[in-house]
Amino acid sequence: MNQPGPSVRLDDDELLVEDSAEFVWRQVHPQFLSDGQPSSQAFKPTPKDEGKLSVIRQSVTAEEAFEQYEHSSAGTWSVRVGEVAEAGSRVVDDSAKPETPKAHAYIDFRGFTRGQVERIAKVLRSAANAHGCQYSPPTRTTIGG
Amino acid sequence: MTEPEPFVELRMRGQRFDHPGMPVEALSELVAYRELLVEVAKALFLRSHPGRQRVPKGFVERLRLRLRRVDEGSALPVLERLDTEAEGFFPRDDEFAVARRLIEAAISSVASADTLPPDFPEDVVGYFNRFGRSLLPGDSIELREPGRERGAVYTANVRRRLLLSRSSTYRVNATLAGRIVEIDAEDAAFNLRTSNSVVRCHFESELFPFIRNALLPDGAGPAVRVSGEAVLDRIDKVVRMEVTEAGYADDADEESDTLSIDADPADIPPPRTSATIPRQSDPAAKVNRRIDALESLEPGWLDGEGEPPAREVLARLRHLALVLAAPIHPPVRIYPTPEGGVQLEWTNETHEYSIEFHPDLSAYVVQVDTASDDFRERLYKSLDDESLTNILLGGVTV
Repeated sequence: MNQPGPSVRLDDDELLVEDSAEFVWRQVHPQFLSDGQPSSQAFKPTPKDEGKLSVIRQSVTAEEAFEQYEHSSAGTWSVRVGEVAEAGSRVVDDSAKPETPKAHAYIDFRGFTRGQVERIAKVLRSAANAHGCQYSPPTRTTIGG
Repeated sequence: MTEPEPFVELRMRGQRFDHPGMPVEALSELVAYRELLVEVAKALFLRSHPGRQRVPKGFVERLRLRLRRVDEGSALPVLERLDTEAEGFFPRDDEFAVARRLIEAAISSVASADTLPPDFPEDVVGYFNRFGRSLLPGDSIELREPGRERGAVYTANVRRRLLLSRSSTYRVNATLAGRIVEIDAEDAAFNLRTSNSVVRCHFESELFPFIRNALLPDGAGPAVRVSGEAVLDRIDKVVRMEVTEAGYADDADEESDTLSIDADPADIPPPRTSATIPRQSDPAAKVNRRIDALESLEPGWLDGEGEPPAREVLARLRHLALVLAAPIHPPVRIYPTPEGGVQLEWTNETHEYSIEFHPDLSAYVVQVDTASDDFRERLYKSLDDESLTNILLGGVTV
């Protein structure tokens, strides 16, 4: 697909993740799950994210990623770094920044138009859905129609 | 005004009448009975007054029936007749009392000898189409004069024979399964192909979106079940139908095919009715349940942020529920958006699609080919049923 990536420069304490085979974990809000499938909304940043979609690198497990997440989640989904690149974006490790969760990284949506954001989110959703849920808490039920 | 006195007892028998009280749907039979009674009485009056074209003013009002009680032992509604203030009394053998006895005689005569009594007014036989239409297999209504031990037993089979004694067709409540192969929008009708015939069906206007969505070229649309009032001929073939309910059929419906008549199958020789089709759940129920869930979202549903979906958007979705539930396109997933809208999303082998309804009912539609660079988007000021259906079936056209 080879879309042009974001032109925003990385900070000095940020690191581009380059191992295309590596998984990154993404938590999916219960309302963004329907019929067991995540919404593409779970793979695009909200305004408060300022173009950075939080993910956790594979150095922690999918379960650990779920446990350390401080908001509502129906479970952990995954995409590969290479799939993010194929979609036209990149994965940036920012775990060196202060008060950042362990193994934190982000998928970079900065500099894209709304349409481009939608396209990347849908490609990532498709990939994540194909991989399937990597961890879901046994005591919680997924919701949705 | 004198005290009301019992006029007729209608003992209703059958499984659904075993419990105390009377099923609400059976009340329609009392209304239909009164209507039949009035028409027979009118015919009797005109017969005895050959010079008159119509009954005198106030004639019908002389029959004031009240349901005062439902006695125990099956459902036994007792209709009492109130005297009218105008007359102070009513003759015990006026046209209405004679009409009651004639109706009982007609039912007994057809049940035993397949003939109507010679003095029964033929012109009003058609009113039996309304009386007894809710009778299910095993049901009966025994009409009897108060104080009598036995009366005339009215069943679906007696009703059929009675109606066919003076007409080539009769009407029943029925359900058909088949596929819609043609729509005549001007006539509000469609043709339903069942396993052995094509039935012309007229439908209520609110069913139009469903009917339209169930039509595909070459009869390739989904199997549907339609219910309403069917007109049957002497060999119980459906001639036409007035459809009041419609839904998608499941495989079992198709296999059991094609007609379920709400009458006793032992009484009616049903050439095409070997199996009763199980009642189908509301095809849009799942969609509506999801909308119900979205309706309960409160401000801050998304980890402290997130507006609940706007009422207008949810109302729009409910309106579109049948379209969204149609099995002719991939399943549609429904999610709230933080901005107070709703996102619909669906997937096929090669594409991801979404429609985001905004609180102002504008709609942003996106189509992504996940295997190529092809990306389409379109913003609609509002999305009507037809556009939505087209998008669900064919994606975004730019």
